Amino acid sequence: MSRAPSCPVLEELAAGQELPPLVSGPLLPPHLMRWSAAIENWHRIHYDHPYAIGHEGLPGLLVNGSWKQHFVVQLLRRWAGSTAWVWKVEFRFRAMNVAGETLTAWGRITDVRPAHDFGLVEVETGIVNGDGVESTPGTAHVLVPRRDGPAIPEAREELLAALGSSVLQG
Amino acid sequence: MNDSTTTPSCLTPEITALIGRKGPVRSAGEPLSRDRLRRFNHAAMEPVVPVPEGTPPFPRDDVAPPLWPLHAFVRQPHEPDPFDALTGDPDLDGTYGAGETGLPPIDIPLRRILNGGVSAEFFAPPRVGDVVHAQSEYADIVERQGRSGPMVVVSIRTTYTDQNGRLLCRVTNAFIRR
Repeated sequence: MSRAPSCPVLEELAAGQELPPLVSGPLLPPHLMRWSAAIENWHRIHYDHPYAIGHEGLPGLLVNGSWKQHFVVQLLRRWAGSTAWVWKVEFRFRAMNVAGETLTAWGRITDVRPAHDFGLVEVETGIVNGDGVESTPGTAHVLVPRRDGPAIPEAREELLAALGSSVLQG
Repeated sequence: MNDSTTTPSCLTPEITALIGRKGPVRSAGEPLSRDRLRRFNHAAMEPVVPVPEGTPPFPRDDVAPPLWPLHAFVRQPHEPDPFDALTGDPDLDGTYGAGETGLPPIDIPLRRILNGGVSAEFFAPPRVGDVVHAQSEYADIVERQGRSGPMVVVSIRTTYTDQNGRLLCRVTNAFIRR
């Protein structure tokens, strides 16, 4: 499987290319504590081990879904660089991840097509743990420039709305 | 809902009438500071990426990650301490009504709430100095028959803007109640 080039432009991308994976972990209680504190979310299942196990019957401290959604976006943005625009992401929370796991965010291009002056790239994404269990399957859309095309405009609301109605549903 | 003839629905007309209902516009109350962004990026473990000379660092120290607006709404200086509730009930789960949208509650006899999934659309990057505003609406409320009984999927779409009404992102959460 080939690697999708960084600073992506439409002409160099193809279905099947893989994004450079992003690895995080092992995610330990201090990581979860730091995240909970930064976003001021005090749900105890993320940092209070006796509570998570004894009170909620969980297998361990739960890795925050809010962090996992950032993790997928990080994977996409690191690949997209400053010239492409991560437009849409969606994913399901299919399985729990618990403290101690090492997680890998991955992405694989499933479709590349021209869209107005740009290119639209569809990426299948996910997060797997060390056992290879997929917890967060999803799909993303990234807008990329053409090789000799214009830069993606700073004010992109109108462009994305036009793309949304002509290229994608909803 | 093809099986509504065999299974009584818990979605009353009053509940389905909530589809499309918008809550109030909420303000984060204070602008994003560089210090808050720094702590956020550290906690999110934003990867530090080498960039060509003369281009801005990554992650930026003046522009927040696209999902930042979701976390802009925190306790304000003169709001009461939510931990006070632990004095009365030390077994509270610690959520303290977090994620308040201002939408009217959906009164159904399904107590468990699972975060089923998210979709997000990004329009502009949130910047240091932005005061995030948000407005939520019920995008959809549907009932499904799961293997373990009925469940209701409540989709809440939240639109995030800055203090000037510039659209930042739109995020839809699917909450599964069962």
